[in-house]
Amino acid sequence: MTPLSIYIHIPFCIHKCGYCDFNSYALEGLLEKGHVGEDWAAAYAGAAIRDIESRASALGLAGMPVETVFFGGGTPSLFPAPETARILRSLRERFEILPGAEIALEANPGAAESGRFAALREAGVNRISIGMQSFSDTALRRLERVHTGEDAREAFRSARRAGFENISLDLMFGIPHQGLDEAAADVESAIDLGPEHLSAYELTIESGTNFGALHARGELGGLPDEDTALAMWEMRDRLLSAAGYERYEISNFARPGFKCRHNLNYWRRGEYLGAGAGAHSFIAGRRFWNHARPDHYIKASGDPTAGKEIIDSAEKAIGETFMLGLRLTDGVSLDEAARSCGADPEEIFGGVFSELIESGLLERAGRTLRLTPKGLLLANQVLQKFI
Amino acid sequence: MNLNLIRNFSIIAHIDHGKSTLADRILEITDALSDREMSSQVLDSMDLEQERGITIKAASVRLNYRAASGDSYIFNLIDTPGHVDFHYEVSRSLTACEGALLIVDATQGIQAQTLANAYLALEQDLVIIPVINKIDLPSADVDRVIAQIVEVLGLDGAECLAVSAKRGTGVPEVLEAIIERIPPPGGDPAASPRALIIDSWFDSYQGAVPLIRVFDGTIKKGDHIRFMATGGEYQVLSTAAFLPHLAELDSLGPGEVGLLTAAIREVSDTRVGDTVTSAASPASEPIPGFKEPMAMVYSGLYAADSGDFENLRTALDKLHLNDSAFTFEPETSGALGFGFRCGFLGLLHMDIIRERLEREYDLTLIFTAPTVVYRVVMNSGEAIEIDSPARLPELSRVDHIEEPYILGTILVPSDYVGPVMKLCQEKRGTQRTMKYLDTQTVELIYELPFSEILFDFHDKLKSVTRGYGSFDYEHLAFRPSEVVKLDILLNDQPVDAFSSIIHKEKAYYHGRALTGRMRKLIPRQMFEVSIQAAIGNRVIARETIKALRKDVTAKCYGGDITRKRKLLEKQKEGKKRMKSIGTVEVPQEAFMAVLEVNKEGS
Repeated sequence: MTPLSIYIHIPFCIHKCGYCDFNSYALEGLLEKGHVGEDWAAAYAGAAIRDIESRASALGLAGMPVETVFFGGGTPSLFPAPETARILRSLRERFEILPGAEIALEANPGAAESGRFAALREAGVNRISIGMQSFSDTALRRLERVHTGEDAREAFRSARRAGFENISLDLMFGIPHQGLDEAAADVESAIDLGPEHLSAYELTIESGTNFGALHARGELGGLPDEDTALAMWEMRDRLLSAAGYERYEISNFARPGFKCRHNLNYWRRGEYLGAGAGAHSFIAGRRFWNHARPDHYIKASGDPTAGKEIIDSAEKAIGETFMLGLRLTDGVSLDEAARSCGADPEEIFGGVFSELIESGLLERAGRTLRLTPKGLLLANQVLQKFI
Repeated sequence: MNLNLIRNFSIIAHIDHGKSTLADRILEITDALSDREMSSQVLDSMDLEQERGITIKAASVRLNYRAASGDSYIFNLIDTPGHVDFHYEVSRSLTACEGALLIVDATQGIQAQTLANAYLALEQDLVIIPVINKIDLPSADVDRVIAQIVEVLGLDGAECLAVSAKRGTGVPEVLEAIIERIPPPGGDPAASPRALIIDSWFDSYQGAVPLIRVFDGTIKKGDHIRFMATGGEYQVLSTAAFLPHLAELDSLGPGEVGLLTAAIREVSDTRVGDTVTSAASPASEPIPGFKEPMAMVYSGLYAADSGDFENLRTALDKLHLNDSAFTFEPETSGALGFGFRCGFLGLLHMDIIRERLEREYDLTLIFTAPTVVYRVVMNSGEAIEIDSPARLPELSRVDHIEEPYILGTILVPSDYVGPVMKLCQEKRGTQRTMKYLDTQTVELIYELPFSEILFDFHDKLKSVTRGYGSFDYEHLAFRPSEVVKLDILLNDQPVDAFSSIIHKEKAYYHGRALTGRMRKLIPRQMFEVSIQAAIGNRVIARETIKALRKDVTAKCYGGDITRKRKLLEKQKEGKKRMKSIGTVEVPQEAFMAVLEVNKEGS
């Protein structure tokens, strides 16, 4: 039986940052509007537990082995540790959490959260991913982050002190007004801390965010030009590789043995059960997702489904396999794709493969297809060929 | 029907001088419509016309008017199109009349179209009633306008009527003047019928419906009729008129204006200017003046999605039922595939067709840059006319090329004569005459290449004369010209759809502007794209679009695969709206860049 991955979404934040397009909400705003009450954490954890219970029984998942659990957000570290522990306990009651399973939680730097690390470790969380973004206070202010560079370092140290041996840092580059040197300084500072894993993203301007609105009006200055941005990508790859990190995805790096198994499952088009507001699931060829607003989610518990989609053709399944899997530097195995989707990828996308190989974006290594360095930078141009 | 109680007339005017407003007042006084219906200008019925404020298709209404004398008259008010693209239709409408109301704006005086329309009416021996409109405006100068009318048109100043069509002032006097001054129609009710087609449109139930003016004889239900120019024969199913609501009539006799239905398939079977007669005992001579509609501007028309080719053909067929003035025939472009070469009366006409195709048939279209017809004289002496740059023969076989010229009439306040002459010079014009119509108004007559006035001449004229200059033209003749074919190459491959024919002296500027514009319109591709402008083998301009080096969503995790796929789908959709030329993806707008460059440049 293929083990399952479980995702728990915790949508609460202290502040909604200008660039963020995740399903997250400033807690204070929710309280002011009356969307949640003072018992928000308990109510939310209760709803998530009911969500998991009803899905597990409806889909016949009870007792399934679980390989990864991921608390994402939002800011899961803002959530009271006892409530997180309660959710984990309920998972253990319903599933077989495998020994050595990856149990990860996203944290933002900040005194209040750091204090919870020990309790979370105690509850069984064994991987912490810290949303550091930058070590520069100026850059952090521009991103509307609510912490300083020193807070970020301190968060890392307290996670270590709490016993975490698998820590990931989130880093961003291409921040407004950031130069190549400053971006490099951030990468070096991150390396100096010695995390097991690093995600280093170029800032993406998303529509529907504050940054998106500013950008559309031409008011978001200081974004790097293409040459500078490319230099940042190159710098990141060079510094991290020299420090012993292996790039395994477009924006993800790890020391040997520390790739994020939960995210690998997404990119390999594995199955997962999502609980929490706006969480998505993919089970037996069906995708479904929950109501995004926390109040709607809490009220709807029992059946929080907001939408669903059935992947009903082998062609679509194979297309998704490449759309997701080509983000990984290992690429996609033709045989594995054929086995999991029940059709021959070359029969469906043979023409696309040749075209992409000819234009130098894709390469073949035995029975595996993967993006070339050029293809990694033009991934959107490649991936859209598979839908 | 007593002919003495019929009056047939048109209202003619320069644009915005108040033609539709006066027509509305006349309808109001003759009680043709309720007040509620008067809320908008009734004669401009098509949506497009309303939006553009231009009367495109002629329409006609039959009104009952009780005169001061107590007699009841029938007025046939025949509308005329108000744009130079439709010159011929105006002349046909006027043929159907015995008189015309010539409206002149009291604040602007005589303008170019006032003159052009007045000349057309005089050519037809119509009685002209000069009507000076907008006398309620503070800047109205009635005396000056009367002086102009006397001086320029040679009409009697005492005959000028001063009105405010907006307020209704003076309009009753206009109606009485129509009775007193415009002669009743003549015609022999017993003769073999002869009726002129003034207009025609397509009705999905009745088929093509011609609007006719009867000169001799009578046409009624059951009659077998023949169209003398096209030779088509039909049986009349009904006769009717707009009162202004459609009402059936027993027959249409001499002097009457109305429409007939006869299960006619296409509008092109009912040509404006054709003569309707009896099939059994036809008239010996048609009413003179019939001309085939002549397309003056040509453009290649392609569906953005080549899968829509058949839909485009169907749409063109249908549209052609309704508008026989545009022509289309299949053509093949190396760059765009299968499409049609379409001919239009002018750019306005082209715009109307484009909008109707996109709106009524939901097609995404690519129009290539419009071009005039060139006459190519071969070494052998043979002359051919080409409507597409792609059809220009091998130059070694060509003796010379001729381009169409127009005779342009420009009326302008004397202060602006200098800038207008400069503009005409830039447009390769030759002055024929210049005369003062009065102390302030100058009439300039220029011979100009049609291609030069096609795009932006009118806008430029308005801008150099602060809106006071006006312009009208008629087609003149082909003249030898130093034109060259300007090719555009994408990655060294010539793209036929981008070629244009242009005067030698302007080619360099044009090539640079065009390549520059296209560099902005064509998005970056995964390889470098070069855009070159060339005359023959000589490259005169070059631009480069750098290869796209980075297009990657850095952050992609979390389980919302549906959304990720949708984002990529959206990006892919954008590409679908582009046309692949070789390996280069080109957006629709790039094909019209030629037009924009013409508008921007000199």
